[in-house]
Amino acid sequence: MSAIGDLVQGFGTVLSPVNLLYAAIGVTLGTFVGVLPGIGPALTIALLLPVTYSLNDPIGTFIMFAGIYYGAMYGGSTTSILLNTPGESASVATAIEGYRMAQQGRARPALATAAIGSFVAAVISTLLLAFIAEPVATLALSFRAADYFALTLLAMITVTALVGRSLVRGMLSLFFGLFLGLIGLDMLTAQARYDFGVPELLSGVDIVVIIVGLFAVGETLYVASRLRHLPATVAPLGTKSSRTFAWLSRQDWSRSWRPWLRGTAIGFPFGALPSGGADIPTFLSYTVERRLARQRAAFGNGAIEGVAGPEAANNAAFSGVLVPLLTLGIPTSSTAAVMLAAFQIFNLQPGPLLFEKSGDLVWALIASLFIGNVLLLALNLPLISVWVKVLQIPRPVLYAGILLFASLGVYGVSGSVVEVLIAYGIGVIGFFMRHLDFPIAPVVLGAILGPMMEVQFRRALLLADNDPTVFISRPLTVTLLSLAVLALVVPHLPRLVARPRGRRAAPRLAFGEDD
Amino acid sequence: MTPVVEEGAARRAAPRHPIAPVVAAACLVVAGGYLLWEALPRTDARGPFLSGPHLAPLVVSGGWLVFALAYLVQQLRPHWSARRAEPITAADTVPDTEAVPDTEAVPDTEAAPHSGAEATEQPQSEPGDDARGLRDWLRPMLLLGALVAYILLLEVLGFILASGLLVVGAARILGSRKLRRDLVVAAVLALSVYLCFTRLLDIRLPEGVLPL
Repeated sequence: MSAIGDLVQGFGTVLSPVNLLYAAIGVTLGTFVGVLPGIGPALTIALLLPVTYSLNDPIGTFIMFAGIYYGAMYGGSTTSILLNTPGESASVATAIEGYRMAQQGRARPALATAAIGSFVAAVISTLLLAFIAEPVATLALSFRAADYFALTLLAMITVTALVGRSLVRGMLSLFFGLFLGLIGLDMLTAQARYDFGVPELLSGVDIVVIIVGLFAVGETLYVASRLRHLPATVAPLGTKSSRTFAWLSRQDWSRSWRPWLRGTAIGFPFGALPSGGADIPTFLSYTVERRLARQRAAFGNGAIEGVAGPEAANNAAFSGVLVPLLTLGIPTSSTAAVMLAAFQIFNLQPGPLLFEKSGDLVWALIASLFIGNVLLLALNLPLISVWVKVLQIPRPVLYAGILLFASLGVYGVSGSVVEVLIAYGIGVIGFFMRHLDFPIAPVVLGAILGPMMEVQFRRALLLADNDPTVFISRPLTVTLLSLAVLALVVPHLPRLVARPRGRRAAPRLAFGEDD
Repeated sequence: MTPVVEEGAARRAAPRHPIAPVVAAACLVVAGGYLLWEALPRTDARGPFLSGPHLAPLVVSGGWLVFALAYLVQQLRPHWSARRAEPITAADTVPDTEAVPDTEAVPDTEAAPHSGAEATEQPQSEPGDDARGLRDWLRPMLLLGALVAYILLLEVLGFILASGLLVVGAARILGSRKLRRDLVVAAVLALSVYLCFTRLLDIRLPEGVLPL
């Protein structure tokens, strides 16, 4: 297999002292920012983007990003377990059982099963990524514009329809994102759209501005309005008990390893499909573990399976998301959207051609995912007391600092006061969205997938001499489009089935909230 | 979506069905209509319409408008049914669960005793509830004001001074009462970030009035 050879070469690139240093910096920064309550991986990467602007070394930068990517995840699970404030929706399932365990003085086993489970899941799923990526990229070479259009549409609809509790609110979020994506000059004809006479808007609204606005400013304003409702106490770590290996007793190990593997098996395919990242698989894994648990009563009272499974699923999905991102150039989660922005800083366009054009970079990235996870496993548990200290930063100071870094993140990139004001404006909207329970992720995906979708739609039509049947003339396109329609209908099936029988309306299928 | 409207709305109707979602829905409908109007092609569009630049804005603003109207209807439904089922005695009526499944997202419908003195202008609702609701809306707005002031002062005062002021001010708004600690944190943070960005990362930040 050439994948192994390429991977070995990737390791050769990564295992130089300078690149290892980049990996270590990325892992530490990622964990540090990820631990901060209320900050998820997407915002972490967005805030750390300016750091990479001045580096002239794409490979080093991506090695750092791989570290940040996973570090933010590990950090997020620490916050969920010890503080019960998941920084993103994919950690919500972990927080349910993890925080219970921490309250019972079993914080160490919870943290350990999360960390080791993440490691196991990441290693397996990165291997899968390494073997799957190139075949998928080759397959994707045969995709035409109409297929890309259908694929982006599918990704957008699945995320919006499956995540969150109300389709109407999800759709409104999506359309707001699509609108943000429309702002600026049209990519094909340079026609100005929705510029409202503001020259800064002609170049469009940058994805970093959107993410910083929604996640940093919006979140902080929301926190400010709910100061009284915040959990303030960090759960104690508990004492170290003897007869444990890596904080897990023999029983913990035997209860954990199957959920790790099951979580990985659930997480990776869901992440790799254009179905919206890690939210669905984490909740699915939680449900599966609860079904399978021998002591079902323990669920809700701190069952270790309920931490092991979802955390593994979360991490596996995280690697899975890289499959559509690297091979098709389609981000299916907010975090992937920022990663795409990072790629574009270096004028790299993820997609089928990435493996041909910059194969060494891709394989170095994949290899650094392994390295990053090893470093994280080595850093995370021994340094847990440091991360607990980070969690104890007083909230007012913490959020004041977040506001400063959010403004700096936008200003440092653009050097423009107007751009920062746009981010604040988006933040105000993000604040109201949180108050009224609108999901956030569709905004980000709409803003980044919308323009892609439009370009592919128009390109397909132009190539077909404006013949709209181009969208129904190929089986692949038709399949993808019908899947998109299915994704809209499926969540409503329980209610549609229940209604004619006169039963009480069943709840919609829904998976957690967005990040 | 102006904050002022929202604040007034939340204050007025907190005890009964929340009016904030209705106001938001109305704003969304208006915004959608405006965007649709803006999207209508002004000049006689040349070239094919489907592959031209005018289709996407029409689709997006049209979809926006449709879902905003659906949202408005969803939010108004409990209000209408409530009017039919008058009189309502309990203050904490839960809206129709199917139409509005998010009772927890509603700002402060739960009544709790509170000795607020700020709300004397709204006699029809409970004063304690009112003051709390008001303060909940006040803090984010103060914070937003601090942010806007920061960015406007940034290029005048320079990064260090403006950022220090922002950190102290924001911490204060967010409930910190330890001024000395905040000052130290602000000074250290602003200075170290400035040095890091300008010296290590070569990103230019406004120097301002401080001689460096």
